[in-house]
Amino acid sequence: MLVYTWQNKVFNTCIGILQNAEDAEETTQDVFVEVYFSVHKFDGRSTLSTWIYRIAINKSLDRLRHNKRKKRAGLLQRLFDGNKMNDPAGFIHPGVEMERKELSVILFKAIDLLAENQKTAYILHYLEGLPQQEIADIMQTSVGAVESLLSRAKAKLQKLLGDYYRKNFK
Amino acid sequence: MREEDNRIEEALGSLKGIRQAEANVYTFDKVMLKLQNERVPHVSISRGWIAGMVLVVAINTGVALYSIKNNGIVIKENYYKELESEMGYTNDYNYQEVD
Repeated sequence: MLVYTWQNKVFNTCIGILQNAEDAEETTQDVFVEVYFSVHKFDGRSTLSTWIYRIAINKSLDRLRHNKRKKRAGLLQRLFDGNKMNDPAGFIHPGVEMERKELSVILFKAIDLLAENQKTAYILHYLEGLPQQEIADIMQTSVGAVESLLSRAKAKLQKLLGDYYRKNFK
Repeated sequence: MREEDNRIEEALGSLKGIRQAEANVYTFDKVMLKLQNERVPHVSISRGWIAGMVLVVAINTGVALYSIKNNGIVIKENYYKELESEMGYTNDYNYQEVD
């Protein structure tokens, strides 16, 4: 029952961070396995929603770090390491409106370059539509800190997008 | 610059109206499968216990091998003694003149 109730929210969070459907599916399953084995640790201090989101974020970031470590070890990465915004492969979120898909590919490339905590706050707010208070509970920080993270994330995205457009649309 | 700003704003706004991505319909089944695999006895033994067991096995193996080797020697010795008594062989080198 828990799986059916939460699977889409968890998957949507994971795919936003991982930008890969296969990884997101695998991570979603891992989240529910973790929920099953850790349910005795849930003390009710936070809501169930907060707790599950927190597990989803942690599992997603773990997998992201693992993937980046694998990539760093790859020879191709070293040979072609340049501006990642110009990487040909792009992630298309399945829920983006048709006429905005191309723009969203560029945005997701920029989101991928954000620091982990900025990325987390941005995904939870703009992809999951969570209010800042709930994001603060999930990230175990204050609302002020979340506001600051979102503001810095937006500034960084504007800079990255600006650089991208200056380079590609002279 | 204005055009660039517009493009940036458009990109930032590309998530407007985004629908939630849907998980695979078989997520529940895959989770059940993972849980089943996790339930296969997964005995977590600390390194200390493993080292202890290895030591005990090594000692027992050593004792067993030593015992087999010695028993082998004893068996051989018993065999030769039996042979001696049957055949009148001797290991005694104190030769005495036989009158």
